[in-house]
Amino acid sequence: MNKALKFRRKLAWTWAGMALVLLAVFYMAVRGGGEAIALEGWVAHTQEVLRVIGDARLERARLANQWLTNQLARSDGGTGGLDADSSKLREDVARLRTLTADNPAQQALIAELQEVFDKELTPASSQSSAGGTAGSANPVPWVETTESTARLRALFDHLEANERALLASRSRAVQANARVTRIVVVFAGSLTLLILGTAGYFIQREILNRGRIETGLRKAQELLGVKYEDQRQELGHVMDDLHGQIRARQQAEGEIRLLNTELEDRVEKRTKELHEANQELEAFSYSVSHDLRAPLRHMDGFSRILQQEYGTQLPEEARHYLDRVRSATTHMSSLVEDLLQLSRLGRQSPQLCRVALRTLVEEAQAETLSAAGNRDIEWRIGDLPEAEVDANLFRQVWVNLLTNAIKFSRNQTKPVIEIGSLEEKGETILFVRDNGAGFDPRYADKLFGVFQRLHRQDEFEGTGIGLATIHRIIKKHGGRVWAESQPGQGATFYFTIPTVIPSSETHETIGARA
Amino acid sequence: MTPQGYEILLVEDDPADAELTVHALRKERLANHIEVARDGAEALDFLFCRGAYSNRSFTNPPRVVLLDLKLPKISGHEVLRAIKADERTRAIPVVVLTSSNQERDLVECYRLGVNSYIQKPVDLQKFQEVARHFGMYWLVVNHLPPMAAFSGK
Repeated sequence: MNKALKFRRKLAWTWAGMALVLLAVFYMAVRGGGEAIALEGWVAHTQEVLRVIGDARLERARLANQWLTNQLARSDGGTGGLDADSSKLREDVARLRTLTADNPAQQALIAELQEVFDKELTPASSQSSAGGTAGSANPVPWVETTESTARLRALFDHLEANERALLASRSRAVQANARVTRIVVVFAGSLTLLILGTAGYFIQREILNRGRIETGLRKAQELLGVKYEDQRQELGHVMDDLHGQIRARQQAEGEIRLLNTELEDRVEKRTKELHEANQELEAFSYSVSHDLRAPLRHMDGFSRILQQEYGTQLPEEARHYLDRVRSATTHMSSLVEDLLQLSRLGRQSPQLCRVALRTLVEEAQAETLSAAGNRDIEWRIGDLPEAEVDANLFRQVWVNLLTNAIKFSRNQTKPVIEIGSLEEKGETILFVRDNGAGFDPRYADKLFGVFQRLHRQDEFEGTGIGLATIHRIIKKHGGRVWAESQPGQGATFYFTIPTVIPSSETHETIGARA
Repeated sequence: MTPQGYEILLVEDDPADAELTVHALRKERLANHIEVARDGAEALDFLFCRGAYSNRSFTNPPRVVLLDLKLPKISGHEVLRAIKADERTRAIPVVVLTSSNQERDLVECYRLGVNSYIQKPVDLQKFQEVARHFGMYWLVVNHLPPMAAFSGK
């Protein structure tokens, strides 16, 4: 439950209790006061009764005294004073009766008193003739007896004693009441004081609590305010920073745009230059293919005519020199042919399509079989995958590799050429293995360079371009090529075919033809 | 075969090439009358009977023209275009005999209306073989229309 509500409820109960106690005290005090006033009335009443009794006693004594006096001076016959006195006594008795109307004991005593008085004032025998009203102008017959006097005195005493006892008992009750009232007032006062004190304490405590809470709240608010201000300022700094960064970035972007434009211009210029260079190269290669080969053809043609038509007339040595001329011509011709092929590669972009490598291998095999002559070669062709490659270029790769394999294994009695593929680290590796001459692995790095040869021309003829061509084709397809060998133990040539073709290699000049 | 006419016009700027071609054709005894033009201009003069050849007649054309593409002054392409563009010479068979194996040349020649395109083999023996084939075909097997029908006269 809510603390404030609890407190309020507690306070309400406290107030209610206090009001109840105060009401009780008030009631007691009022009652006590009323009783005190009543007692005063009772005291006065008793005193009145006692006075009237005293009066009656005095009157009786005076009447008796007068009667005695009358008795002594019977001749006078004067009764006037006596009449008055007796009426006075009657009045007193009547008054007494009225005063003690609520007290049957006193009433009984008064009735008895009345009876005695009546007897004294109107004796039954002498006064019956007189008749009429006893209290009137008729002279009062008075008969006093010692017996009645004593009786009256006792009655009066009894009446007085009764009245005094009544007063005493009443004042005792009032006093007892007053004592109770005092105790109650003191107790109630103490209780009220206690309640007030407690309530005051609680209120004070509550006020203190509230004050503390308010102070805390104020402090918290101040703290919050400070924090908010701090954070606002911090946010401001951050915003400033951000704006700064945005400006810097915009500036940088502008610069980059400018640089890009510059770069584009430069690239365009370079592309144009490259295009021109390519055209020049094309013209050059055309010229080479046309002009360089022509003299070779002539040399070969005329030396052949010499051999054919005049061979029989020539001495042996001359025929040998003619052979030399012709083989040199053939070698130069193949050099030119291979160089042209290599230069053509540099400017051709691979036309990729999905081909079965096995088909390409078979085509290459057919093309190279003429070089193999009639030699009995054992071909071991394993599983070959399909690949996304330039079919013409890859056929060339196989042709070059198979030509090499055939060439370098021609001195073997049982040449074996193995073609296959393996999977390694997500790459497809293709290989061609022969059991031919092999090469010294120390020079393996020279193998794929242009015009690099590891065998003498009189051992194995060659231009040193075939493997360079392979290297270029594989590189164009984004793959790698390498070889393993030991002299006399054959050689294995490996290459990979990646699935992704580097974009820089696919962007080539249009119209590059050799 | 017209006895007094030329059977073959060889357009070849290289004398060695010309000599080898003539040697090959003569060896096969396919042609005795071979005229050699050393450039495109000379070839056109011969074919259009002008300049040094003004005494020639359109009605007596060679049975075949062997045309090299790479020629001084006027290229083989232009000579071919001129032959095929003119009503009087259009019927003359033109065989391009070249060392160029370029697709561009091949396409261009056929677009201009060449009758045959032969790449010269480097090997003499092969060349002799080729010469024998095309000599036999164009000079013996092939029939030509009467040239008067194209002379425009």
